[in-house]
Amino acid sequence: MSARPAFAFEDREPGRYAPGRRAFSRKGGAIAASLLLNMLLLAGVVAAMRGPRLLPTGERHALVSIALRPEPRHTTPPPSAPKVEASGRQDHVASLPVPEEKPARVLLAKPGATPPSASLPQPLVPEIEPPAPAASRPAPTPSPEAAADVLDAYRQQIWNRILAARPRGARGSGTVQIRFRIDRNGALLSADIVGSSGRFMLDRMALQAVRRAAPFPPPPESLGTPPLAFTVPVAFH
Amino acid sequence: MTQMTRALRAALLASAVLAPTGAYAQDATQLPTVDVETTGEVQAGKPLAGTTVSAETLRGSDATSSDTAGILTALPGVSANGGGGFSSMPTIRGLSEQRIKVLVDGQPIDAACPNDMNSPLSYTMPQTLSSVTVIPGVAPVSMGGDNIGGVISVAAAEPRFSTDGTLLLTGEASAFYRSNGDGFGGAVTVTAAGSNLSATYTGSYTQSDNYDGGGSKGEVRSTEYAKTDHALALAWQNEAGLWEIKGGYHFSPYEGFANQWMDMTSNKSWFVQGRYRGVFDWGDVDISASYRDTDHKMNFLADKLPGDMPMNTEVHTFTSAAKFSVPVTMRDTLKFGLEYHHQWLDDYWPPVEGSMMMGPDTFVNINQGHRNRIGAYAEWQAQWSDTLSSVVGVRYDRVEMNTGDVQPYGTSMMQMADVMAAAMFNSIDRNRNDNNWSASAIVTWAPADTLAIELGYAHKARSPNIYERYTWGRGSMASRMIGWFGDGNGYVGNPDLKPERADTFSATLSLTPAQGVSLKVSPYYTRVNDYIDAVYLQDLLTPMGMPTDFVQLQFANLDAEFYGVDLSGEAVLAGTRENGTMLSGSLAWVHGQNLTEDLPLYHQMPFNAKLGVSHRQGAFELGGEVEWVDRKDRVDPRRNEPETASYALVNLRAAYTLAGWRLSVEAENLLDKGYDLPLGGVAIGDYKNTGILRPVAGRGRSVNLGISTKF
Repeated sequence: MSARPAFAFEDREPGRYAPGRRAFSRKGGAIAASLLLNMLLLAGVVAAMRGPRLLPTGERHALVSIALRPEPRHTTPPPSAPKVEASGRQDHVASLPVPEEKPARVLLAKPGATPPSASLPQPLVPEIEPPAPAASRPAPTPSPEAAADVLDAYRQQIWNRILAARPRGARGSGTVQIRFRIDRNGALLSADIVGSSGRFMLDRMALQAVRRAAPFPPPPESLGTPPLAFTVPVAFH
Repeated sequence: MTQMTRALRAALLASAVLAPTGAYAQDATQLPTVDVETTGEVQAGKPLAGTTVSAETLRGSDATSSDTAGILTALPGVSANGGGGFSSMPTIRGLSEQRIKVLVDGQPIDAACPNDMNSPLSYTMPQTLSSVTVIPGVAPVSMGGDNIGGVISVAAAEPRFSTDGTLLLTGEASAFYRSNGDGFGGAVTVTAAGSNLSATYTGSYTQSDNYDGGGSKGEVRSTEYAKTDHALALAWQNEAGLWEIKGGYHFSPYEGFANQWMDMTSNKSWFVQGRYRGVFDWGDVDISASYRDTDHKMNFLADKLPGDMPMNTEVHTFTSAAKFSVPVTMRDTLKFGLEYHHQWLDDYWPPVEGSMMMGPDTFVNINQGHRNRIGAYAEWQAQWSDTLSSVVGVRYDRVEMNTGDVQPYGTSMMQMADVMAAAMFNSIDRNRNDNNWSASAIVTWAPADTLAIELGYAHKARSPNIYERYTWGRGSMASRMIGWFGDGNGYVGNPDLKPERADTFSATLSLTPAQGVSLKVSPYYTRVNDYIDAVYLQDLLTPMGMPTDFVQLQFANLDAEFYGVDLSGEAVLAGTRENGTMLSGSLAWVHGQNLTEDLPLYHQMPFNAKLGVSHRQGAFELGGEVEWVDRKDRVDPRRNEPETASYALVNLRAAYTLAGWRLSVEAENLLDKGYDLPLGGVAIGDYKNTGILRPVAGRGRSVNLGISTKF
């Protein structure tokens, strides 16, 4: 080790160029200006968002249904009614009823069964019955308990299909509510995001999971006149 | 995790029967929740070997760091080559620098400095990142080409939208102080969003004086820095998809480099990038484009004065990519894409008035060099079952490079070496085109709830960068300005370099022997043909002809191999992960060998291990960690790489969350252990003051305070 640095740069003029913190204070103005500019931009955006909406909220509901799917069963345009109005996902019941969905309600209105109401869950709990194939059960009986069994079994089948098609490779967390309708053959009539996670990719991946899970097994006839409507929460952890 | 998922699934199946119909009863039948685990499951395209560190972990374990690469060293197998205070270069399993693809918000950032001072991660602040993903070695080819060592992807948060139609206003803010070096900084992230439009501002500032080494090491010169980053991201979601645009500005007025002859005296960089993502029945689309302009200046900060030697680098980069992911069947997904990357680089050193060596002309180091790359890949991901997945892909990258004529400072006798080198360089055809093929195959299998196995193989190729191919100066001073190795030696480029091609075999074994206990072991082997290293040219002498500690080397293709093992594990000792006591540990060992010359490779991290205990109870967090690093005695003698002694460091930390504010205090290197950084290089800043050459010392004791909040 030499006592002096090997390369002392002796032939340079000292001090002509002395960067460092002095240079920095000169640049302080530039930083402040850039900060100010950024904040102004942000303020502008916030102001814009408080103003008229760029997209009516209802549109977001429609957007998912218009995806490339030119099959004839799409002849009726996707619901464009303001279903997902600002009331939010806490209270879907209030925000969801749409005239065209009426047939779905028939689903639970079995002969002899109590009409669908808030107290509905109770009659649906006959006995614990893990994924029993609906086909193995006797033909539709007018008994409400049997109807509930059939519904449960069928529900289990479609849920399993969605689980199998669940999105892979997602990042982030959040819960998305998907509502979908299926026809008498089990084909998907529509699928919509009715409760957003606030994250685009999660919303869309959940929706795609339901679309990929289709076609579903044809619903048992005892479940009433299709289309049948379902909602499913997809929770990303 | 898998076990838990299955238990959960079983419970859900039961609940499907027992507790049906919710709020939708009136017009739709409610199905039970479909739970999607984004981690822990066997998923095609998410290798077990990869690690994703979340924002919570980043902030929780190291709230006061300004060096993103530095905090990645918490992962086994990842270490950092020392540079400036916020510009460390990550090394994965012995492979570093541009052998690793570093993506910031999905975009690559090119080196814009002959010393790699403005490394990609220097444009990030740990306090504003949302996630960091590290995939060593065998990364799927869809994650990027032109690398052999793996992929590091850091990203800000995905845009958030309001879920109820009202204005969503959210964000976080933090500030910190480090006693050693009087470092401080702060960061803020604010998101304002409606249902379809989202805006996020991110800003940060940090600065530090020189830090003190531990024990009697004293001040480590040329370690001061300051920088600020600002970015504004806008996102809009509509029927067609998600549209994002982001712009930002980075400015660093000074950053000392303890192990370089030069310091960074200004780095200005701005960027704008746009991205579109759409999800359709036929597949997913991801189209992006970005532009970045960097203006980089080097000279001497106070510790290296007197002297003057301005060096300027200007870089423009343009990147665009179109990526598609098409689900072919429920099992199979086809991914394919195209990428284009353009880099333009000008590197020139203005004359110094009155200097005999550095004048009368401008030294043209790189004259409008360019490096254009077009890449295409196809990848097949198959999810055979919940417990078996595979990924197989191939990729082609064509790299085209060229550069203009160069010139030395002048034509005097003292400049003869550079004069001749320039004439030689100008006389050759410098156009270089490389056709690089890469492929990767990964199989992940979980035969039982407690066990998952992954096997991977990859062939990857990387073309030389502009400095490796096109620097030419043979004079002592000119060559010492080139190189990112921190060894003080001079480097000369080599237009005849070939791309380096690596074959990597790796395995990962993930064990969950009991609830709350997990263990991951990853052995690997990499063989690199035409590894871009260097060969000895000559000893460097003083202008008086006296010997020095430094040599001149030239970039050259060698063969090299790397093997080793990474191990990490954790165990919940009491309570749960969120509220209890946890033990965690990791261990890494790598052996890097220059096969051509049968020598150790430069800067290979010695065996190291970490053991930590953390305890959380409600708002209170306590943690302690011991880090042990073995002595480094496998050194590259050709570069006079110094050996470093083994050391152990103790860190303690505590944090308390009160009314939404998290206050943390940390004692880093509690015992003020004096030690040298195994990958820190030699302390040129100290050398220019004391004439004594020593390795760069690690940071001594520092008491760090942090405060942060989320809203």
